[in-house]
Amino acid sequence: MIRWQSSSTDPRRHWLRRLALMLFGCTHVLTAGLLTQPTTALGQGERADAVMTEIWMGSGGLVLTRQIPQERRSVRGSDEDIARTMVEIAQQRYLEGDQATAIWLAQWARQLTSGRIGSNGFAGFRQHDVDSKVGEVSAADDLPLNRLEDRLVLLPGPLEFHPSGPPASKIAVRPDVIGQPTSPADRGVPQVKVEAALPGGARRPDLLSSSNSFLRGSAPGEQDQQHENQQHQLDQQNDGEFVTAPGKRVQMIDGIGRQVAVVVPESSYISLVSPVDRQSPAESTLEPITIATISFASGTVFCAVLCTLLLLVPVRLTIQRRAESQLPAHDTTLPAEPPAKTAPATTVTRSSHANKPVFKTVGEQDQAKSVVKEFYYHNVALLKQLHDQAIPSVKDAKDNSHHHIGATHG
Amino acid sequence: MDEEITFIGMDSGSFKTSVTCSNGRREVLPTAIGRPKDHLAMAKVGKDVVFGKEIRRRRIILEVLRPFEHGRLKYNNVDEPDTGQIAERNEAARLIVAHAVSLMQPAPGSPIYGVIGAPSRASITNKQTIVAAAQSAFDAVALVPEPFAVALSIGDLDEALVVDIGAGTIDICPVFGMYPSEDEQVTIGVGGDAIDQRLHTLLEQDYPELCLPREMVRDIKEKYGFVHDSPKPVIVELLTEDEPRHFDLTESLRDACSTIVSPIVDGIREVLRMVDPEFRPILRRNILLSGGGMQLRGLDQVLERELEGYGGAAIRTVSDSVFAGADGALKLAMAMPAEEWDHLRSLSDQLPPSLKAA
Repeated sequence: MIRWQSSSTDPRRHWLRRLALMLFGCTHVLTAGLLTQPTTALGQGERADAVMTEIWMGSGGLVLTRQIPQERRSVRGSDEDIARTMVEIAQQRYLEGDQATAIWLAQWARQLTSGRIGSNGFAGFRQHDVDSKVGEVSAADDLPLNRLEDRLVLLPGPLEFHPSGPPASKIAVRPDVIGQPTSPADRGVPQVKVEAALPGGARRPDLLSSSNSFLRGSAPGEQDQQHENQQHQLDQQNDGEFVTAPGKRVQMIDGIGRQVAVVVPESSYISLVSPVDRQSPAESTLEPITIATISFASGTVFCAVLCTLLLLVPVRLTIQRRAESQLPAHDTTLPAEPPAKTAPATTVTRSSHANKPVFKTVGEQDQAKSVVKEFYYHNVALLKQLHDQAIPSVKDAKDNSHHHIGATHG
Repeated sequence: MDEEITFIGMDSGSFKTSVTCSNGRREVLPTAIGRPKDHLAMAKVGKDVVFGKEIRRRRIILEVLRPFEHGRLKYNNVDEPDTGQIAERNEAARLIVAHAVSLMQPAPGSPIYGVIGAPSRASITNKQTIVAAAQSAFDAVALVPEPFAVALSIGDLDEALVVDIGAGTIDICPVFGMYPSEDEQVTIGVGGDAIDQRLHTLLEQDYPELCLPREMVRDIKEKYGFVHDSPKPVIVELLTEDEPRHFDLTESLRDACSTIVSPIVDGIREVLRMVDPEFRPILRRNILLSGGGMQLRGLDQVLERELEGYGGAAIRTVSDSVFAGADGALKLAMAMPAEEWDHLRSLSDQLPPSLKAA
């Protein structure tokens, strides 16, 4: 018969239980660490719910990630290095048939390098290189506004377009999709660039102060006047929103990397929301790691509590009972003779006895006080009763003895 | 100098005596003594009284006496053919208690204070016998109801009904967080010994070719005993006069082991009748089985089934059926202040010497 012996008084079982708890805890922590590794290795800016390629720019360079971990690729260096890498990747993606990613990368590369062409004499990687490499897929689609609206609604979310009503007619640019400022100093700068309005790619410091801009406004032909109008409109920033003038033609990149054109209706306007008011780069970067950490920390705590409960709560009584009742009668054996405990060097003295409570909890002690007192009174009464019973018999015995002696003598 | 004290908790059952000590030692031994049958046996054994496992090993050459068998002295006042046998049983009980205390190796010269479990409804004569048996081994001794000691050992003092199934008696005690009074407890004069006797009778009837001693019958009960609907028959290989054979003991075992079910159910109902009706369902939901008899397979399930007609019950078993009572007694001994022990000691010292020969 399988019998559980008392573990509360068996130090070996006590230590075995502790050891098992420690081993389990270590195993769980190691397992949690291994499981956390792929999650944290997703890298900066990569989100679990990402549906497209995301590009994050930090002060140390640019990190390019894909939602598929195997395609993750990190690039760090100058803008030119990054742009070159991006074009290479774009070309590769294009050849693989992933046109959306190719366009997306090419646009980013173009935006990175356009401000520098002509200013620093960057050789070997020019605007037309980008255009020629991505080919015709990078050509913008001029779409009517009504179709564009439908299309934008179907996109996975980077753009929100509401054509009617001044406050609602906004194209909100989500900061988790567009690029982040390259440095903390750039965080307050609008993420807007009206590239086409600048002839020859000349950089307008007032508008192109951010190198990681997302939206390109206007189209060729409207040129300087249009740009000045846009600049004027874009200067009307209000709480991080930048408004372009009605009737203007704006090119932008949608959620899957395609260029789309929007003609701002006369009765409305399009505003671009600066990412500075949405989310800081640090938060965006840390978010996946934080989520993973919190998840596994809470999982660890939950498992630890569960295991402690399972080991400490005396469910073994029920387990023992059920297990035994299911055993066939002849499969059991005699209960093992409890082994005699080897004696620890424990002594109880009068003072230690007075100071050391036997019952562990305060509730037990309070309850035990009255129980012990009552126990004491019962036994005092018993001994007195035994004493009173014995005295007459002793007297009788003495009397009988005396009488017997006397009778003998008589 | 700080005086060392030795506290001992003892559960002197009809079949086994378990003893635990404040110095960490604990032992279990049969509540029996063996005396050599003749001078040759005496020479072979090398002593005039044998204790512990040696009794079983040398039982052929020993006269074995179980002083508390069938609850004698402790509860049942079985008529003895002569007073000489009563005195012999008292002496055997004294020797067993003394031997159990010596196994704890108390510090020389230290006072030994002990708490001994007694049947719930032991009479004053029964208690006198137990105290007398312990007088020579302890400096002061106190008695506690056995089921209450079990409740103390597991710390379950709130609304529990403890059923202590021993070899000689079955004690049922409701626990409400206070010391129980005798009136609300029940002691039934049957137990494991009654099962052994019944099984022995049945086997003799069913299989006359078998000649099983009582010890083997008890072994069969402890190994195969059950009360529920066993899924498989109990086939045991036993030796006959000619050869070993397999015997189907299923029905005999079930019949014999089930003899205690009905008394337990009646006892539980009797105790519940004495309890405030508001607390009866609470007690029924927390019934605790202890003692060697709880090891009968399926007993908890059968009792739950039998009590379904009276509102249902939830029955648990203690984890340590051997030392639960002794542990609770030791706990109580160590919880009582030394001053109160001193007072009990002074009262014990005032008892006349004749009590020791009671």
